[in-house]
Amino acid sequence: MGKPLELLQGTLDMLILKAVSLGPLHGYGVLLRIQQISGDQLEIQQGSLYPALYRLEHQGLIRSEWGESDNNRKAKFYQLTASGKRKLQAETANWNRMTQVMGSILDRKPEGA
Amino acid sequence: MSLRAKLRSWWKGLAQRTRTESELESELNFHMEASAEDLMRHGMSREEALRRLRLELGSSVAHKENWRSAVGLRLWDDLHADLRYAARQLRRSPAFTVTVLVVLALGIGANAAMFSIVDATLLRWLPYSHPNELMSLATRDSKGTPAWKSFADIEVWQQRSQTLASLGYYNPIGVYLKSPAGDQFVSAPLVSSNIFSVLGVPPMMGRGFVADEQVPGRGKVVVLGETVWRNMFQGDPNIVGKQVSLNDVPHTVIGVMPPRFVFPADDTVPQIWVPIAITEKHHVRDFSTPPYQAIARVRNDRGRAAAAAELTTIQQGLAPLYQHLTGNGLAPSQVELTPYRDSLTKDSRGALIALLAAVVVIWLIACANVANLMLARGMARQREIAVRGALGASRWRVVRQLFTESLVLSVAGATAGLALAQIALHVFSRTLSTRLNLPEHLAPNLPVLGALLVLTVLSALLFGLLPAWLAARTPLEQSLRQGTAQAGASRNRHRLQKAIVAAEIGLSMVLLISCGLLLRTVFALRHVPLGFRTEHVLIVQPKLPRYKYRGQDINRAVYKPLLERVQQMNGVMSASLTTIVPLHKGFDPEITLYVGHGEKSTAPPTRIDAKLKAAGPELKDVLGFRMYQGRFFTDQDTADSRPVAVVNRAFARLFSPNGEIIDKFSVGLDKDRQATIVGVMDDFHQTAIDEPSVPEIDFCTNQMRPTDGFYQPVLQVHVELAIRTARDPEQLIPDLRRAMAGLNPDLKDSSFLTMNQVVEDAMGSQLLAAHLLELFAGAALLVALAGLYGLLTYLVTQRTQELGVRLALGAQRPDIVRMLLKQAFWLLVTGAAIGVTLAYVSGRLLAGFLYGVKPGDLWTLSAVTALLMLCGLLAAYVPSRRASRIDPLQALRES
Repeated sequence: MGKPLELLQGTLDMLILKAVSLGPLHGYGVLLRIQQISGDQLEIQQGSLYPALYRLEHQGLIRSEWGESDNNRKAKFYQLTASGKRKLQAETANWNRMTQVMGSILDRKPEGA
Repeated sequence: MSLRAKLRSWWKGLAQRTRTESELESELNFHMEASAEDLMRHGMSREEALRRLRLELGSSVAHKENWRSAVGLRLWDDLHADLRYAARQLRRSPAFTVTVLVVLALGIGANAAMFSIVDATLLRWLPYSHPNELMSLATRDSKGTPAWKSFADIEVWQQRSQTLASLGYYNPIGVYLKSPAGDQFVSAPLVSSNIFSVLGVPPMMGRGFVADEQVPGRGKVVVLGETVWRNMFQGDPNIVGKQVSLNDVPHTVIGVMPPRFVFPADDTVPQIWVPIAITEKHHVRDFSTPPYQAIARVRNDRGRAAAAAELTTIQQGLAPLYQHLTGNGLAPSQVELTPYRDSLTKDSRGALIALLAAVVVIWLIACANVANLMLARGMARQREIAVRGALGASRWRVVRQLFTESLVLSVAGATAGLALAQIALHVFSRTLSTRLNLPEHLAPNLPVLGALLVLTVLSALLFGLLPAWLAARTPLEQSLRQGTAQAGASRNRHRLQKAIVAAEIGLSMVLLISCGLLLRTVFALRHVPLGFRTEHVLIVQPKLPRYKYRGQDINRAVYKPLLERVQQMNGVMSASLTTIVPLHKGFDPEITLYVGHGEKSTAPPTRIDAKLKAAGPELKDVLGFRMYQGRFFTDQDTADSRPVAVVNRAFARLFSPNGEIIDKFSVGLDKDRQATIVGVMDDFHQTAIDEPSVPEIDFCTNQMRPTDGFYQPVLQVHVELAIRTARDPEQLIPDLRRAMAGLNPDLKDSSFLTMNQVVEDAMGSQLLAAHLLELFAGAALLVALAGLYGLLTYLVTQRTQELGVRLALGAQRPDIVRMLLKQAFWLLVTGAAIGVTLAYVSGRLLAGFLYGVKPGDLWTLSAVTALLMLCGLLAAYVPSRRASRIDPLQALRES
């Protein structure tokens, strides 16, 4: 396993939306879920997680409520809202197109090689 | 909804701040705990794990900050902090803050008051649809003097005009309306049947008039004003169709107008409207037809000129029809259109505009002054600003901070100004409303508040941004290196400040000179020999329900007994009946006489336009005017004696160059009674203080009979009682009121005023303008002096070190005072020069108001300059003296 990848600019919001779309999570859980799905290949700055969560909640893409964690401690759980769901779908489609285009550009071999 | 989410988070951030922050903290704590446990499971010590997490996550304070900027509350928080900081800064320098607040309150207060007045007059709201299209029509003869508007002409305009959308006419009169609540005098304009559609306002109940109701005998209908309907008929919902009586004649109510509808708009009495009956007499073009006012609606802005041109063309075709009456040139031949709104304020318009200009000048002075103070302060704070810059505040952020400070000041100043305006309006409301016919409660309303808001923001921009910009522009390390801001770098700024102070002094000079000129005008008006007594004279205007006395000689039935009763009262020295006392505005008939000079004379007949009056023999004693020749009326002039008349000198001069008229001229009272001239009165001012006497002919009240041709215009229409009192005439009013009510209850609505009030009212716009300008100029002087004082004080503080050195090197204290006073002197001279130049220009604006003094009056100019120099040097002396007391040791040690 190599050095973890740095996150691309603007992709953290998408990852968070994806993470909470699988089920309500608290902040630390979001962090763990992303690391787990990525097979520990992505490193997320813990300091940038919360500002992103606050921003998404402010935009109405996720909502939060207080609940109990696995070890019976009070924790704030985030879950996707309807508009968050739409946003995630749109962003995913967008991302797929972008990677396709980027891939085809980067795969391009020099003419006549 | 994302908007709801946003609102929720803002709500949480602003209103539930503590709770939200404690939630943030517990969320963070949870994260720490959970994460630390995981790390400890990998073998890290608890302390090490927490230390690492704290580094990665940041402090809880930073966390809260992050949350606030994530939800977009950062800007608000900054503003909040700026406001708090500004308040703290302002509290720390109370002298500065109070000066600025007073200056702003004066500047903005004067403007708020004046805008309220302008809003109620020049920009007056009118209860009509598209009121800007409504025009008042006037005619002039070929010489340009105002002429008659006869119904016959108006009818032709109505038929032929293509440019007017509609045209109506009216004649304001009053009647007694009988209602369950009793008899009340109401205003009952006679109107053309289309008047409500011209004004574009339909009745709220019932209908308006139809053309058929102008046919004589069919027009016994009335439309009620909402006030009359509500107060006199208790808002009876079934009023339409009921009978009411006007002057004892039954009329049918056909409609009620909506609330706040008034027409004519300058009426202050509750109104009802009655259609004009068009009789045979209306189609005759002569001076016996009733006069009408015309109001028209034009189609658009350009319509006004087009309509005036068209109507003038039509009228020129009609002018020959007046040939039989006026000879050449006097027939109405031009038609003028004035916006109806302007016609309501035509007397005070000039004064209002001049005063508006004056308050704008005050505002400029106030702004300049505050800008100067802020500039001085900005310089004193250069070091602080530099430190803020060094600590990483962006230039924009610093400017914003300084701007917030000036905004706080202007808002506070505006609030104080508004209160000041309210007080001023309250204090002046009585004087103002008699002059300007203002609504009863004058208060700054929405548009005024809006204007005030704009003014405030504008002033904040004006005086806040310049110093802020200058302060932020100063290179950082330069201001940091200098201990205090006093070196050559600020010389330019000193120059700017001096220029501002000089400009302020100049502007206040303009106001002071204008005020001086107006005061001299009022002084001159007060000292015009009026030619009659004004002290201890009381005027009674009996108001009588005339319909009750139809067919009677009111003069004999009511006024004679009243006069006799009053003459016997305690405190009355003499009393007389008269038509209208001199200078009093009201019904003032004129006649045109064609005078032949006897059969033997070859001179052509002279035309004399003269005031027509009637007077009792006692009037000469009451008003104390003098006879030039012959005698005034006496008690021997009775109904049965030889009819007599007197004229004034102006009349006599027109009659013959040497003024000989006694026994040489007589006027026919009726077929076989000729009134001979028996005396010539000395001239006195009848119409206006600043206008010369006009010819006048008086008949004797005791000799006039209801059958006389002159009786109708003279004694029938308007009679006043002039009383010479032994003591203060005001004190007599209660006794008089009681006596009159006892004599004849119908006289209960009569009104009283003193001759002095009549004279004050005759000064009209000059007095109003002078009063307000006194106030404004005083405020301006105060503000400018505060500016001068402030600047010098500041300069002295800046120069403490230098002055200390001078003193240490042997300069004498008087030298220091002299040096600083010289500086102030030159500022004052420059300001005065600017002021005199500006005053020369603005004098043209005032020229129309001046009497007995020229715009460039040397006396006023020198007096005002002297006053300004004196006050200015006094203001400068205080800081200069303080400067001379500097202890050189201390001044040097401070550096």
